[in-house]
Amino acid sequence: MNEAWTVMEVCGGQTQAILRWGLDQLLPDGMELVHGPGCPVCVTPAACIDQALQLALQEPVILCSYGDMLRVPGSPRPQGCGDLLQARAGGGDVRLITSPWQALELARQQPERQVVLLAVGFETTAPATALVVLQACRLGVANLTLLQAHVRVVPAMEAVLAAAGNRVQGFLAAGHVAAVMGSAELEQLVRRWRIPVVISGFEPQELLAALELCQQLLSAGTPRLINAYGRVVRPAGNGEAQVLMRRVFAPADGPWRGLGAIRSGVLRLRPAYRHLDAVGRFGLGDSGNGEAQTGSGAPDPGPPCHAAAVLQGRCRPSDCPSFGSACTPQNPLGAPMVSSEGACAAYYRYRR
Amino acid sequence: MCLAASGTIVAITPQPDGDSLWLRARVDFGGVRQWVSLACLPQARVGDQVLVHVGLALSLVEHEL
Amino acid sequence: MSRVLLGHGGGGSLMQELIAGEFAALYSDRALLADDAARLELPQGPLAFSSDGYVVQPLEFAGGDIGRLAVVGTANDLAMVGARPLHLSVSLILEEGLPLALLRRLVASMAAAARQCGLTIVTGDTKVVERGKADGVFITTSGIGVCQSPGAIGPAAMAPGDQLLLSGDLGRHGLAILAARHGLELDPPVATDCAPLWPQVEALLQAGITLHALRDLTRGGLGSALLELAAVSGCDLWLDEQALSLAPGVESCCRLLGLDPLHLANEGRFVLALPADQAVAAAAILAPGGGRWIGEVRAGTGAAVQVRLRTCLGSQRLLAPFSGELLPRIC
Repeated sequence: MNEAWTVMEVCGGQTQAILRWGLDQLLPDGMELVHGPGCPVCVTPAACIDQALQLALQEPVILCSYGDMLRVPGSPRPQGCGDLLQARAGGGDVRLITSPWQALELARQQPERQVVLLAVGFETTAPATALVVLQACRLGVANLTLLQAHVRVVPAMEAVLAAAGNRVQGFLAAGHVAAVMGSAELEQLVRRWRIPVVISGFEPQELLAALELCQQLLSAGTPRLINAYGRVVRPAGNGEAQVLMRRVFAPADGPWRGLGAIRSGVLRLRPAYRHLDAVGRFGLGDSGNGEAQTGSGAPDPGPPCHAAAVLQGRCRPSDCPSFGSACTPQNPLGAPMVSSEGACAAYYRYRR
Repeated sequence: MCLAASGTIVAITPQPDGDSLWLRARVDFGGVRQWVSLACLPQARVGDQVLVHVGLALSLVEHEL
Repeated sequence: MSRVLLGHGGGGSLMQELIAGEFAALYSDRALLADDAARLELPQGPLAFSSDGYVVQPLEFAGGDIGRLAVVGTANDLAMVGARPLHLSVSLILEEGLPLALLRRLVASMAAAARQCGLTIVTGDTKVVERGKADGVFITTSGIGVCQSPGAIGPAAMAPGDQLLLSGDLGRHGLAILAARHGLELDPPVATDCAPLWPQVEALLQAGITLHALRDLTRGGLGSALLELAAVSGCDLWLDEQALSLAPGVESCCRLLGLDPLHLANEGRFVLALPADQAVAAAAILAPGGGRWIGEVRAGTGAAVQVRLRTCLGSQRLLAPFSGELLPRIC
């Protein structure tokens, strides 16, 4: 077995598990692992976080989001990048939630306040947001709005493959996205790009088994989809969750932090639910494509940042000259360093 | 991405109007219990193992591994 | 950073930066900054002195409350420099409107904790602030104890080859607080591990064990305690992850919320470093409380000291740094 294969695990949770368990030290011979863009917190556009920071400091607003979102910095500014924890210290009412229903509950308990849910995540998280939207509408809750940056994972995998200098020859696909979406989109990806994809779970043994399967497919030259997470993932996914998501959201072209615009890469509220969009409610102006690029592509020639190459698997976090010096989780230059699930942050935590 | 945990359904709240939008279950995650929405898994029953993400049950977990 | 963040009080790297950056000028000797209590060499003999503030929410939780924590916590800080806790002062800041019944429960709990620790509360102070200016009750306790160890105990004495022991399982206090804050029901219930540490330290000293370093695990958990020990001693620490035992429910809760169990708070556990030839004897003394060997001290190799864990798969990783605030995550 002399050939060296490059496989990407797409999902940040899997990146975290791989480094947490040191699986990169236990890889099958002749396999190189690169880490993918699958951290929705990292890829949330800086402009969206800027809007959240702005809203958090408005008097009637209670801004709710998940813990990993609270320390993601917005656009670089002269006084440094702000995050929501700093906005809270500055007087903003920022609440940590672990499920979107907590935001709905807060809105019902405090009708005199404006509750804004900063909703991020892949297709795993979007159904819960959609469900809360439908429940809020049914209950006539008027003081809950969304600042939402849901993204779609398969278009990002396509973007990785389409990028110049792509090295990825096989994918571990994100098991929890597949639990919702099933295998259809991934089947299409396999056919279109003739690349093997293995749907994997998150336990160390599951990840190692999935990597082994991927290597077998590569060695045999048989690009196929294998579901190695069958105890959770059904071929059709979760139909109810897909229906909910389609009712509330529609795919659109949109920005990923660090990667730029991705075709069909984001979800937008459908017109029937636009009245729940915090951008409109508070006159924030469209976050649209006005992403302030963090690191790569930024006009200021500061320390170099290879975020885009890391997100596309073209280089490892530790290959970047700023890694661990100019760029740390406390002072991130690029998207993959901003959340603990990002590849750079995971390297910093476990592999410095 | 997408931290999810699997747990066992210990109780399901009855739905007077049969509308699964509000269906909820009490789920035991190895000694830690939480309320979870069953809106996307209306077929789940007490004793089933389910995968939960941000308070929403997304998949029935088969007993193996 | 232009303002104080909650994480600055969380016992992680943010707090270390705050202390080193802002408070160092207060101290006559920078070395004193690193210890749980100060050892004062008085003409009558060595005395230990420590002070700690308590702001926990909720005020009452499974197996304890802020009053018990305030007494036991300071007594434990004294024990960590090898001192028998003797006397405590208690300073209370009460928020206007606090139910008297709650205050009475907290006072009774402090009195019971003092008896259990074998110390007396000898002086105190009470202030009341307007509603909204405090969160129910804040308590500051200061304590003195007599040092019973032959010499000073501190991480400077740690040396390559030393072994690391941990006095019990991990995460009970953090879990009890997380459950109360996030509305999690624990079945079976898990109570805080809040307990006096002096009896175990005394048993070690009486057995003639040489203690190179003692650190109680409070905010920031075992992880922060080890990172601090490594930083002060200049040594690398190697842990065997399989040797760490997590309290029931800790693993599930951490999985659910995306937290690292090594960062959950404890209030009745300590880690110690000691010469290898005494490790077996010390582990036997700590065994009844669940104490055991967890790892060893090695010479620092890299540019910065490291805490490394061997996983059950035979691979290794660095111990993740902890900024100071436990934030449940979704991804």
